[in-house]
Amino acid sequence: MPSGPWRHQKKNPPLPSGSALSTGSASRPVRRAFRQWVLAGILALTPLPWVYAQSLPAIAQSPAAADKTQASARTPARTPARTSRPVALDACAAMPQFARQLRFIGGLYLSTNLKNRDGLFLMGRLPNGQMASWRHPSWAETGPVSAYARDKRGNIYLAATPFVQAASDAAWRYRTVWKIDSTTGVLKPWLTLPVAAKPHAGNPYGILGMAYDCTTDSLYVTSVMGSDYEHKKGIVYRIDVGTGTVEKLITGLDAMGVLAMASAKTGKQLLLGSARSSAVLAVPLDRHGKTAGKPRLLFRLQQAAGGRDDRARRLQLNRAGELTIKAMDFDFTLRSASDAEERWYRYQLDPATGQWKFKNVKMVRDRLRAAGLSARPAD
Amino acid sequence: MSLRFFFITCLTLFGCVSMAAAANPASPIKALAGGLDQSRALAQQLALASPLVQKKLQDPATGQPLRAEVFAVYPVSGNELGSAHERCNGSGCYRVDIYDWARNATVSVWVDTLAVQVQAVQRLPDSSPELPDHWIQQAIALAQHDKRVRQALAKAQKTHAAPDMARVRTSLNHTACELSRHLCVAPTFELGDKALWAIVDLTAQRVVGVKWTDLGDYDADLPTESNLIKHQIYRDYCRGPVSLKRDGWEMQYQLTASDGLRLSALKYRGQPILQDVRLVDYHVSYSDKDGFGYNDAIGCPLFSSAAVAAFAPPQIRTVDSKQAVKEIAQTPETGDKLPVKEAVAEKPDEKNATAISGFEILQDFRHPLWPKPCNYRYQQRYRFYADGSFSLAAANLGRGCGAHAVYRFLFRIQPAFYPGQQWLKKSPHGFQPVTQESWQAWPEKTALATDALPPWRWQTPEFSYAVQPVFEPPEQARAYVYLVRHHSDEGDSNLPTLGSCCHLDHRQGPESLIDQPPESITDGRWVLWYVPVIENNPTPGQERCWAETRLVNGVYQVKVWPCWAGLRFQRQSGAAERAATQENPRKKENH
Repeated sequence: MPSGPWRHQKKNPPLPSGSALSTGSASRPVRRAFRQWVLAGILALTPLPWVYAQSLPAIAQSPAAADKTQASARTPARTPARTSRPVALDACAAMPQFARQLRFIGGLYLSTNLKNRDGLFLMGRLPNGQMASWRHPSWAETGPVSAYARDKRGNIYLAATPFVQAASDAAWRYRTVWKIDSTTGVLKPWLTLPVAAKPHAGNPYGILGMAYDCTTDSLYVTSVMGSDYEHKKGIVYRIDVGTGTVEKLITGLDAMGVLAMASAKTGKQLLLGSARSSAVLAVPLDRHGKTAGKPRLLFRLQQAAGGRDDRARRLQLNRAGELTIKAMDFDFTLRSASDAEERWYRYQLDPATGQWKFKNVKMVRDRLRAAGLSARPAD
Repeated sequence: MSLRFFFITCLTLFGCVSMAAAANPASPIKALAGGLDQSRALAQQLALASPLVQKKLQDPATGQPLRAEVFAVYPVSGNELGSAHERCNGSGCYRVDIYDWARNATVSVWVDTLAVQVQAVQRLPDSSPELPDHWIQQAIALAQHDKRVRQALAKAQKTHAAPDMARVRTSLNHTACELSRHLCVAPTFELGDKALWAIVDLTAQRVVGVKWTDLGDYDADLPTESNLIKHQIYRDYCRGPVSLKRDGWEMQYQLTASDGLRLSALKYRGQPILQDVRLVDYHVSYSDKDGFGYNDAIGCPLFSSAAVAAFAPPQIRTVDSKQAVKEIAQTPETGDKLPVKEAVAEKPDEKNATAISGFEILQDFRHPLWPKPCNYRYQQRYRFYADGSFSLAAANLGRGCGAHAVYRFLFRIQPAFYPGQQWLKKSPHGFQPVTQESWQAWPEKTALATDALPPWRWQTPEFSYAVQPVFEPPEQARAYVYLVRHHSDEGDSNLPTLGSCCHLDHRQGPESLIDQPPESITDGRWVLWYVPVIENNPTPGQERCWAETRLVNGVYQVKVWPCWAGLRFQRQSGAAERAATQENPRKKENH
């Protein structure tokens, strides 16, 4: 089993054999245990329940369910034309091998939002029902993380981002794709992307979005490195995960969130959240995962009822074909500790017209809590 | 049944509004007047009479009513009925939407008029209902009468253009103004391939901005109060320095990416004074044990490395004599009262204050959600007086992430170069020049005989200044001062955050610029770093560096207890100059 620090267990021995971590209050223990038992059961029975999937993507269910996920990775992706619902093209993403050895029960989740936001963590429930988090010691190397994606082999790809202040090696760090090896759980720099210009005081950012496409084994990455007020120097990349080949798909576009999806009406598409406005764009893709047309405006978050001038930082499709867009304020300035507030927008694709219909938006101040994953049980 | 009978009787015989109002004369919620049929009027009155509704429109702490108004009353459609409202019979069921002006929230009330009772109440924060017609007309009227709108339409030769009503309802109708969280709408005038947006704040009853947009550019922001201001600040103050001449002073100022409002090429009556001044960082520490905190950079609201961004353009305004005296009065004294007549002249009273009145440049940096917890507001202030004196200061206006926070402001001050200019610090033997790179804690642990005098002097062949710390309020004043040799790669351009957030001693970052062995600064090529230290306090009656939201007349207002710290440079004339460099003779006698 990989060793590493347990966030809620500084003074206690490592996790194995169901040792209880001290999280939350101990009032009404029987009632809470029952509630947690029920919740764990729901997680085990329902792969990727949407409320969880839209907040922090589950990377595994129970070990048995994980086996099922691995098996599905070997089968071809569902042909988009056979369903009227839109589907995300990362459904084959598999549970990392190292995660099987962790003794969490129910679903496992990736989180970048724990205290101090100093990197990626795994979260899950212990056998006693308590939420806990874990990471390999090497994961601290990235610092704060902006985006991540998983492939069909169980590898995790992620990107570092400045938070409150920029790193001294920003020019390298924020354009590097990092990889957590599925087998060992060790994080290492994987690829450093070619950019149009270096980061500067007016824009310390680099990679902001990442999405995987099972059908072409492609990793799509968005970067805004080098852009300034007058010049859009952002790039959307396609990385062939098998060969590590990097291709600049779109240049001169500052994008944040990215999602590879397909539907019978729209075909295969890359959805992109603009980093400069609340626009959500679509780019048609061919069967090789390359662009087959120009970016097209789908809608603006600001024009939804209750919408704001937000930026779409993460786009997720659940199994019902419902698109959740996690959005926040973004002005190319540094984020600070207080900027935890964001809004989650939900849209549904009209299968007849191929148009996205706005459903609702909700304000989220505590993402973990909103996802039901707070270490402290929700009220 | 009796209540239902009462209301039906009321409707039939007397009209609903007057009777229902009589039934609930104390309801502070403004009803929707006119255009309501009997059923809707009944629904409205039942909603307003509901204790639960009234409770949801009160301040939770004090129970005082908030400003609230019914915006819409309409029958509930079948597909809207969720599990919470299933008891509402479709035919007699109405929804009453009430807007909470104080908190920018919507309280929706489901009323069954047949059962004569409220079935469900929901509150949706950060939202507003569809606007009633009178508010739409008010928004359009405000837009059409705004000078900027009239000028823009005249320029486009469309003086009689009417705004697009659809966009009033769909684009910003449901959003709060980002800055104020007020109710804002955007009547839009479409003119060919462009659109003119007028952002109207209905809470404050004013037009907060106008903007043209290209209708086809997906990367262009749709205008909101927030992005209009941000773009204006960026274009006018971030892209290059702005020149200013006033009252004998000349300077350039510019908002930087992370060093606050930078001042450069400062001259007084043509005489170079400062080459460059900036506020590099705010260090905030929340725990003296765990080393937890932040380095907050301040700067431009777009495309910058600022964690707390400029919220408004720099303000230039007159400093009257009272403000000048107040600032001088806030220079802390660690010893006895001023003993020397000439030194008293540095602390003018109301009578001679006119001579020192001048002007100030004030810059506000703020998180949009301030003063909510873990949101910050900082200010930077430069003051210039007619007698050649000036001051630079920064403020923390709360509220931060908690009590017992220690704030340190990192000022970098590069004087104009005069060969042989000296920085002198007070010592038991009078003022002594600092000859090599070093740092100093102020006040000294041992009080000096001359503590009542400004602790430092800056002396050039052409002029000299007495330099005094400024703290408002003056309690717990302490600071660190660093003299380092000037090197262009040590801060001439925009600096990233410097040093650790959480060292509570002199290790604030500038000490790393002191070489080992320290370099000589006798040729006059030096830079001054000044780091005042301030602790916040939320204790009622002792608030400092703090902000609270309070309910006043049904609307929340912010009460602020700012804390300022900086340096005052008092221009020395002949007699005062000599006195300031002398030891205190009376103190000397005592020794």
